[in-house]
Amino acid sequence: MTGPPKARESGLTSCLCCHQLVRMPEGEESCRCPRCGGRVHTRQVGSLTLTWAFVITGAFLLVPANILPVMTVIYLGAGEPSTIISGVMQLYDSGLWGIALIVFVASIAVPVMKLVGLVLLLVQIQFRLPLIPLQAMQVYRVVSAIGRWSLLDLFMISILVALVDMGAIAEVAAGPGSTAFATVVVVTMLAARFFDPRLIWDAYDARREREDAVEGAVRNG
Amino acid sequence: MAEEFAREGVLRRSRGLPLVWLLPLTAALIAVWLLYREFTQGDIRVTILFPSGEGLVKGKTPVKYSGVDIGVVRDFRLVPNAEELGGADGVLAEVDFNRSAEYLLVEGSRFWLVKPEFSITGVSGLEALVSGNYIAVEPGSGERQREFVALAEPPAHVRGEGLRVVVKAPRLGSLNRGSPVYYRQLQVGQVENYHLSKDDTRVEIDLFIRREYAHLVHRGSRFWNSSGLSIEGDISGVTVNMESLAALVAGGVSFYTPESQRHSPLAVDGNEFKLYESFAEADAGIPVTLNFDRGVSVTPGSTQVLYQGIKVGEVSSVKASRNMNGMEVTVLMDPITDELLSENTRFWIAPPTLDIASGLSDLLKGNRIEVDLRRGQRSRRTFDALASPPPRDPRAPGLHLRLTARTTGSLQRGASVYYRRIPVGTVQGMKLSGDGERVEVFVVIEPRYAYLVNNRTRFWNISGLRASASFGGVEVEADSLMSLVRGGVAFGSPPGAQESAGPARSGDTFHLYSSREAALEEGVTIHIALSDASGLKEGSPIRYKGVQVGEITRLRLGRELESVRATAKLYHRAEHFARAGTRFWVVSPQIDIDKVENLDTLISGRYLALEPGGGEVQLEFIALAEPPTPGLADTMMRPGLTVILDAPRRGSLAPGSPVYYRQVQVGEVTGFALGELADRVYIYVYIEPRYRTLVREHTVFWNASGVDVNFGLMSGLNVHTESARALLAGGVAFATPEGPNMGREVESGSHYPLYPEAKPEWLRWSPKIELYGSTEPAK
Repeated sequence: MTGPPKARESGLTSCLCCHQLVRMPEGEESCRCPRCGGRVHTRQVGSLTLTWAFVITGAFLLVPANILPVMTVIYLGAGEPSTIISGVMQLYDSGLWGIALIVFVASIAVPVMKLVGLVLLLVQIQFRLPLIPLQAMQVYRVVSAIGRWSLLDLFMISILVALVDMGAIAEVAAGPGSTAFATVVVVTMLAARFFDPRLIWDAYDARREREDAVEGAVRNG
Repeated sequence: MAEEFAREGVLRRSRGLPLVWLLPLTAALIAVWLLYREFTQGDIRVTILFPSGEGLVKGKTPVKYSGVDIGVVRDFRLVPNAEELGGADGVLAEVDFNRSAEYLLVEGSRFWLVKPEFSITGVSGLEALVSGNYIAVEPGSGERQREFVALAEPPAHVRGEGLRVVVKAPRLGSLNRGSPVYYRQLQVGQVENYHLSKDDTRVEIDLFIRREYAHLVHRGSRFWNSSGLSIEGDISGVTVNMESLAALVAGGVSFYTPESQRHSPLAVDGNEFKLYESFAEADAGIPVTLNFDRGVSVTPGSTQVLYQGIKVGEVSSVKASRNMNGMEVTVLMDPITDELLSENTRFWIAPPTLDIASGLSDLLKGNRIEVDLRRGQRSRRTFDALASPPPRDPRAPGLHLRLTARTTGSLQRGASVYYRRIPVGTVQGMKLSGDGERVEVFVVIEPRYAYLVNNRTRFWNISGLRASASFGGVEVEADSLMSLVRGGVAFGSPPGAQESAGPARSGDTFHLYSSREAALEEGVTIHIALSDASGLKEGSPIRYKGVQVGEITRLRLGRELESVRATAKLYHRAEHFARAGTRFWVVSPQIDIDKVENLDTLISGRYLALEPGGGEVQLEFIALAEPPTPGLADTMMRPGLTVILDAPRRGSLAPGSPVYYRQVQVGEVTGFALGELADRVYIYVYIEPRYRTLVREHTVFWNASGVDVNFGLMSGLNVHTESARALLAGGVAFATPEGPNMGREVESGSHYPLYPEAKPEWLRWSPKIELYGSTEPAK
């Protein structure tokens, strides 16, 4: 046995709601916090499954989010529905490359990066690939931190829809693509939420033990 | 140990969540379905060749059908020398079509660019103004096609169901595609297209009538070009008639169905109609050609043809006749006149006449053509029309009379005939008599007044103004305002004629006198020889004691050019004046140093005065050069006293020179004459009756003319004259001695010597003599 003792090995878990140290009943992985009644897991139940499910959902939903128009700006009775990409292109064509960059990052880069980051983590853990836990933790932190910023677009759309309603002169209508896009954002946030970062360390520990065992076997002969 | 701080967890079982896999499944289904749709129902790339790329915007210009975007222009490229455009350069637009519009992309489909268009007929493509130009499509039916050539102009075809008929016109006029078609000023359709007929002689205009109005078009309907406007002026206002402002400029077609054609079958697609030039023409009148021998003022479409005041036709066209010697006016006559258009029918232009009865509106309507419709043997369609009304119109009921006159003055057709200032008839017309000597005036007296005319009736002209001016003012007399404008004829009968004379019959001829006096007075015509007629004119009056007793009717030079021979007429009762001894002279204004006379003749003109004689009837007279001075005999007859002064010289005395007594004028010098032996001058002095007692047997007369100037060193300058007037005009003064020396009163005719000057003692005489009559102060 190397390193400091682990809470898990002592049957101890901290409640993530009220931070009460809870002794897990024998042989159980999950229980309720005796103080606040919150769910206490040694590890998130089905974390990998849920995360996988949400990540796949988000990946599929990227298709409608990019094909369907996000919003239609009708100015003097004329207007063409624009998708996210075409909106970015329009902004870029208009010379507003700064805003185009922001929209591109928030609406396309961030969701895709989130999904890619999560998939990387999941694959590493699921298939017990060698991983550097500090790097993995960094990826996880970024993914969970930037997720909400993708909602910037949706805020903008909802504000525009509410404000720009001048009848025949100018009108902004949200398209079905925005719903899909919102779903992508929510689903990726949920995926990040259900991903239990302790699994990274479990995988790391497991690997270390395996290597140690292999080393020990080699040493012991 | 850590365990002491830890608390035991509470166990609570819950099911697992395999349902979470439904989420990616759903998302996958959505994504797959979308991708499938994207690939199977994506846009169709089609190329359309435009003659010009004007108004096309890459990525913007949509293709619309039924108001829905079905595609958008993605790109263009230039096509040099496009075969489809006859070798001209074109612009090939690549258009992405919505897959739902695939059925439109077939052979026969036509594309054209819609631009906002503002025209008088309306605004079309207004939506293109804000949304930009767009490409419109009209579906065809045929094989699949992916390459099209756009039309240069929108097709004229009107979408929708309706009746399509063709009208044929010689000219297109201002009609255009989209010009409205009106029925009772309601737009029921539009001009769809127009083209030349096959033989190039006419224009065929395709009309589209909307389905809901198609039942209005019968086979017997009439179409006419309603372009332009008509203005009808009337005393009650001005009516501007036009189908609409759009029709005014862009033209329009109107139609209606005559009553008689209401039962004709309904028109069907492709029926052909004639397009008339105007409503009037469409009215199916009988075209009648009137040949005028001179230009007349008639207006096509507005000048009416009237029969007895009822409109029976309208002028439809006016043009110069073929040989350019007159006008050819085509009128459309009401079909009911068909049988009456015979060789006996006459047309003439009737200028507007001012008549209170018909009102001012008649005047404003302008010329009209009148027709006298008569049945005849042969039907005619061409007439020689008169540029002026015929002088007589036997159709009018009443007593028709013919008046002959030397001139008619301002008498006009339509003037009234008055009897005691009541209009009882009208002047129908007038013409020169055959020999050109006289004018014949045709009048008709209304039947109910016909009894007023008998064969002794006199007619006279009351046209114009008669003005008489005097110091009392200027009197202008006209029988009525109407007679002032149009002249008039009045008539009357001598007293007693009503009973004795027989009634007049139609066709009788009367003389038209120039004035009432001429008509009713039995005058005597005399001739007066004048040495100078300046200031006299025809019509100058002849007066006796200020009363007009006649007038000069004619002035002309005598044969030897030495005198003027005036023909004058003395009114009846004035025969007394046409006697030997009657003297005539010209009264003219006299402005003299000593008097101003006959000033009124300055205004009223000179006139002849007469002094009646008492001899035999005489008709030839010689006028005096100046007013006759009353003879001595006359003077003797006057009340008052006339004495004769014997003077060696006349001095500056003249008739009218004053006679003073104590510097008060009491009489005047009436005349003078040489004595029988020419050794002296007799001066006749007339003393007014009031003062006759002043003259006594021993009265002395002296010449008071001139100035008596005494000059002395001590007394200074002493100028003495009887009066300022006597200074210039001369004068006579007299004095009578006092008391018993004065003698008795004298009779007229007494002689006195006229001393050249007064002795001083005469001036001191102051007899007391009682004057006749009142004691009013002397002038």
